[in-house]
Parts: sequence; structure tokens; C-alpha cells
Amino acid sequence: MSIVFRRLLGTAIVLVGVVSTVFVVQRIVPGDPAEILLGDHATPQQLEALRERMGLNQPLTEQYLDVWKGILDGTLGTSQENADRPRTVMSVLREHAPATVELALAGVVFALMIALPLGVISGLRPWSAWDQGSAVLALAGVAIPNFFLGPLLLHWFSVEIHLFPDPGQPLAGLSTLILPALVLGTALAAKLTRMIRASVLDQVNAPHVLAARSRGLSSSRIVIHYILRGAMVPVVTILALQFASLLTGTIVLEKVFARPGLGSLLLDGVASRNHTLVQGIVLLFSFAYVFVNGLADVVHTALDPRLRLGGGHA
Amino acid sequence: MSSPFSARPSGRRIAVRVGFFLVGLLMVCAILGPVIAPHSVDHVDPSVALQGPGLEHWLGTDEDGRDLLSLVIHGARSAALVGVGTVAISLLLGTLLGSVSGYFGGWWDEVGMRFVEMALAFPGILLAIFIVFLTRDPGLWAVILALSATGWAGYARLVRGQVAVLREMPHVEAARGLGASHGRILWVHVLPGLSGPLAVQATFGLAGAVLAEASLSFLGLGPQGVVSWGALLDQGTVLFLKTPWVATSAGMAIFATVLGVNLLGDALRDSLDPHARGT
Repeated sequence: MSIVFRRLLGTAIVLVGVVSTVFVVQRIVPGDPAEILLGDHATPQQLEALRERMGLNQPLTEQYLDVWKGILDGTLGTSQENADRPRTVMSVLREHAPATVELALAGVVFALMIALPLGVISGLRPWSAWDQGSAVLALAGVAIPNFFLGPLLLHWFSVEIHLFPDPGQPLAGLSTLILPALVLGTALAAKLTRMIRASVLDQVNAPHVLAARSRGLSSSRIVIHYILRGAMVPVVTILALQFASLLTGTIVLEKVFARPGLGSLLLDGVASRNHTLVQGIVLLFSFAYVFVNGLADVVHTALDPRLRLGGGHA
Repeated sequence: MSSPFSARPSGRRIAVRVGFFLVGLLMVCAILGPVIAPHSVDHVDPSVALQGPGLEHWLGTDEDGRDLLSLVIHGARSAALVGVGTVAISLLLGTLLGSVSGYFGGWWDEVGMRFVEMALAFPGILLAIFIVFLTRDPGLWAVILALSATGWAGYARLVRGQVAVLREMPHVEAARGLGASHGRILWVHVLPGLSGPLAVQATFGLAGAVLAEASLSFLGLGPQGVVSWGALLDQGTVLFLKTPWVATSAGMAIFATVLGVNLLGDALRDSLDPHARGT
């Protein structure tokens, strides 16, 4: 009980820290947001009006509390895109979120489809041809930037072999899910494969696996029930940590493939200097990341019986 | 179980050589860029725009008729500056905070680690995107500081863990018994013990920073006023159907750099920790 409470308290402190960091960063980075938004030719009256509208004239504590008010009432503030027809940031985010979640999930599924079999084979047969091959692939997969692999595959699939319709415009038409998910999953698969391999390798000679073997259980049973179960524990943690690069990956790939998700929205917000919108997306992504890692802790405990007893650490 | 003997030394040696070659190439281009680049990158000549590889322009030209090879060579400097700068600042900050946390423990540790958790709560380059977005006319320094804003946390966590172990070692106890100051104990007796793990982390951090800078530039949030591979790749993506050479040149430069640095990192880790071999 006290462990759960401590974790929750820790998460709460981190979330307060995230919001405060986002707020402090906006104040310490030099430059007046209103001035940057309006450019050099703005009159002092225009600047003043915009500052007023953006809430920059209020005392700092008031501005800080406003950020919290937006979080707690679930609106994340008012988007500045249109002064005449104000919308809450949350309603804008909700429109764009499905495309991003879809892409992220598809990327994870693809990564697991590659990494699980390859990692397990490599771990069971270290230094075999499979293992060596997957090591080279992993090195390449980590080093190739997804904003290079994306256009490359797009060009190849749509222009060279016509698997996908060539939209004429190079990047606009292909808003399908398959290609971006493939690209997003590649880097993740590269990292996961090596992790799963190391993890399986660790389990092969673990006492409980040796005991199972000496009891004469079949190899497939040993692999599935004993090795894989133990091997999955670190994988869950890694997957949760990799959620970060998955999120930033979606930003890049939504740009490459012109998908209307949160990443595209973020870049639109950056281009139009929509402060509350950009701030809202940064907060949403960070909160989601903290949440996913908290969830991984719970799954971790479920998979590793030792943690459930509150005793030794894995 | 992998014993050190099962590692294939020949493959390993090749990997290290490739790593050294690629990183060496990056450094030569970064330092001597303007000297060895065959053309000036300021020279705009629309009459030769978007040419494929040829004798005059080995890799071809971009939209403005600038020589691609020269652009790629110049881009190495931005990549190296951001990479080294980010790692240096992150390493310094992280080591400072991590050693205070690990050495003094107690409240120092509680507070220090909360800061680490906060920094790590921002996924990837998200905070950097935000900081560059807020900066007017971001230059190399803005990008370096933006990437360091969360970059230090990984080092701090590593240092804190190691220092907490090392401070209990007999030689540190002895130094304390002899009346050495905290600063001297940390600097002379504790920190040298973790130069190895720090070097490994710094190497992988360098690869990460190069990739992060390229990502930021690709998103239009990179350093302004300098040649950057990410921005070049962004330009090349739009032009991919007309000429794939712009995107391919920039993409291969990023790929080769990250691959080379990672290979060196692997080699460094293996040489310091025989247990990690083959994992």
C-alpha cells in the first residue's frame, strides 16, 4: 500500500514539475512572445493589445495558475488560432489525436512482429547467422533517421513499384497507415530485437529454466512458459521508455506523410506561433509519457512475482 | 551464456575500424570543412540547379545550384558542434548534480532525483522543440542549450548511482579518515572511477544529439543561418521525385555519422565491460 502511495505521490510531483518547467521555460527564454508573433513592424498599440489577449500583462502567479486552471478543467486553455471564434485547446487536440494514436499503435505492433521472433531466435542461438544478421540490421535500423527512411520508402513503393498509388504530389496523397507505421516501427524493432535477445540469453541458464529442463519438459514449453515470461519483464520497461521516441517519431512522420495528427498540429502551431496550442501538445505528450511509464511499472509488477511480494528487486 | 571467447573478434575489429573511419571523416569535415569543400556554399547559380552526380559536382546540386558535396561537408560542422556542445554541457551539469546527490544522499538526493525525473518526463526532443520554438532566430547555441535542457538527466542518474556505491569503498573511507575535503574526495577518489561508464554514455549521447539536431532541423526548428543535414533533407524530401540526390546525400551523412559513433560506443563499452560483450 505504501509503495503504491509513494509511486502516486512521485508521479504527482513529476507532473507538477513538468507543468512548472513548461511555464518557467517560457519566461526565461529571451524574447517577448507578442513581439515575435507580430514581427518588427507592429505598433506599440498592437503589441499591447496582443499582450493583453495572451494574458502576458497579468502577474506571473496569475499566469501560472491559469495554466493549472486549464489543465484541471480539461480545456488546456484557449487556442489563439482565431480570436473571433475561440476554441479550447483540448477540443482541437481531440480532433487530431486518433491519427497519432493509430500510427503509434501500428508502429508498436509492427516493431513487435519483427523484434519478438528475431530477438528470441537470436537469444536462443547466439552467434548464429540469424543472430549476426539481426545485429547488423539493428545497427542500421538505429542509425537510419526515420525522416530519411520515410521519403525513401515512399518514393520506392509509390513511384518505382507502384504498390501504392502515385499521388502526383510526392508526399501529400499517401495518408495510408502502412508506410509510416513501417518506418516508425523500424527503429523501435532495431532496439527491441537486441533487448529481447539479451533478455532471452539471460534467461536460458537461469535456475528456474534449468530446473524445468531437468524435469524433462519439452523445449517449446520451456521457451514459451519459462524463458519468454522472464524475458518479457525488461522488454515492458524498454517499450515504455521507447514510447518517447515513438511520440517524437510520429511528429516527424506525420510531416513526411502529411498525416493530420498531433505532430502536424504541433508544427502548424509552431508555424503560426500559437503558444497555447504548442504548450498544450507539449503537456499532453509529457503527461502521456509519464502515464505510460507508470503503467509499465504496474505491468512489471504483474509479470515479476518477486516485486509483488515487495521484497527483493529484480 | 555468452563467454568472452564466443565473441567473434574479426567482426568486432572491422566494426571498430569502420567506426573510427566514419567518426574521423566527420571530424575532418567539421574542422576543415570550408578548406576541403570543392565549392562555396554561398554560391547560388540557378542555371545548374538540381543536377545529378557529375564531374563538376560529385553529388550533384540542390535547388539553388549549390554543390551538394560542399553542403554535406559544411553540415558536418553543425552536426559536430551541436553534438559535442550538447554532450559537454549535459555531462558537466549531470556529473555535478549526480555526484552531489549520490555523495551527500539524504535531502540532496531526494531533491536532485526529483529534478532528474522531471527532465526525463519530457519525451525525447519535445522540450527542445518547445525551447527552440520560443527562441527568436535560434542559432547553434540555442539548439545546444535546448537539447541539454533534458540531456543532463541521464548522466546525473548514472553518476548518482555510481557515486553512491563508490563513496562506501575503503579507499574513499580512508581519504575521509585522513581529513580530505568533500570536493577532493569526489574529484580525486570517486569521479575517476566512473570515467569509463561516462565515456560510453557520452559516446551514445553524441549519436543521439546528432540525430536530435537533424530531427529539429528537419522540422524547421534547427539552427538558423548554418548548413544543416536535417534542413537539407527536408528540402530534398520535397524534391525527391525530381532528384533523389539531395535527400540521399543528407540522409546518408546522418546515417554514416550515427552509425560510426554508435560503433565506437559499442567498442568502448565492450572494452570496459567484458560482461556486456555480445549483448
